Amino acid sequence: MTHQSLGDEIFSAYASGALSGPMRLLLDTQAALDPQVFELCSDAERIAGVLLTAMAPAPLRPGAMDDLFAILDTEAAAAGEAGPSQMVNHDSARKAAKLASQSLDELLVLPEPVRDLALEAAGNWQFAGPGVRIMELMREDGAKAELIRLEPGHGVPRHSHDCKEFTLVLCGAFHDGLARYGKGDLSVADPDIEHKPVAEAGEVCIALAVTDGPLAFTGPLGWVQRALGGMTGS
Amino acid sequence: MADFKIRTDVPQGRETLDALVEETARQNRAAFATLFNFFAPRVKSYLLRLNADDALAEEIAQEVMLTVWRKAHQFDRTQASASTWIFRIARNKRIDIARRASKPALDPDEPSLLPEPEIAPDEATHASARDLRVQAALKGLPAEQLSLLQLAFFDGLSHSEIAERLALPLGTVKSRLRLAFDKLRKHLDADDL
Repeated sequence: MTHQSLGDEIFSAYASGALSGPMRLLLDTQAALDPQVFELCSDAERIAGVLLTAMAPAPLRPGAMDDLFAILDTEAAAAGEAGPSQMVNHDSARKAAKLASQSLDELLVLPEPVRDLALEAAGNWQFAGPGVRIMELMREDGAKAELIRLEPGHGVPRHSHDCKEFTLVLCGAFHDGLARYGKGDLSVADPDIEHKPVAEAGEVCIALAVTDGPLAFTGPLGWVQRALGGMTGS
Repeated sequence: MADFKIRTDVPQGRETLDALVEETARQNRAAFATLFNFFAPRVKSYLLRLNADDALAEEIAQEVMLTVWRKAHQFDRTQASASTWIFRIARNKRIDIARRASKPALDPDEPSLLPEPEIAPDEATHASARDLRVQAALKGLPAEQLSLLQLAFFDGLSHSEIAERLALPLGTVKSRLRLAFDKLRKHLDADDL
């Protein structure tokens, strides 16, 4: 079995916003590759949306709407003077232009959420052993997302993890000694499992590897506290 | 407030809410006011539930509605209903606030986070049909199951965290949630979807 499901809880956590950035990236990327995962993520957000309409309303203070309309009026007046501003961000494009074209082509075919981050990281591949390169995409609260690029026939050294590691194949395929993982397949390695993924002959394999921090569900309970200045929220 | 009646208690159907966002995209302020009256107090209620104090909940609810006005032109009812779309905005805002210290992982003004896969043309109405079914299924759920769903979908708690919070055995939480999901799934998997 090469396609491992993440379980029901992950989708409600996804919709709620409680997942770490790297875990959310994993699901977004999986959703881009797998219509079933897309549907599960969408359904979870649908459920949250319907739950929102079912909330007992908490009235805003009188005048709240007037204040909002006042802001809109101010904005409309400013837009009349200055005209609509062009908010296009060329930064990623500029960084992308610096990349060697060969390396760029490889990144451009990746699914959207990963592609944007990889371009943002300016394709900054780091040597990680013969035929193996790694690009860090995101790090947050002990959770980490990185791209792993394996030349055909090469593999990452045998390793185990402090935390659960999720590996999603974006292109090519690898074999970890137990099973073959192709594009869109997800491998879930528990902390105590040692594994050694090796890319199949013939094609470069690029995978998204996410290690979740010690807190799988960071939870929103501490979010106000964190917002108000780094008191321990979790 | 003088120009608009506040009627937060009026139940709104999906069609109506979707149409209101589309009208808002055409800069229709009366439509936006109706949308505000329905959603702002519910968004505030959602934020209060997540431990925001009254002033913060009010401020974020205002920000959420401002984003609704600014991004209304991006709304597409074939992809998500107004309620799902506005929920995403509210959720992203609160994540943004929680993570403001570090680099924000989400664009708080970008409600359509989930990249859309290529959807076949005959599935254009698919999203709205699914939405109606979720609504129908949730309507029939007992309050007890609804509150479990809120803990999972608003608070993002895992099953064992829910069990701990409610001082219930894990098995009880799992079986109650399974009841709720089975019911949802029965609606979602029905016939022509």
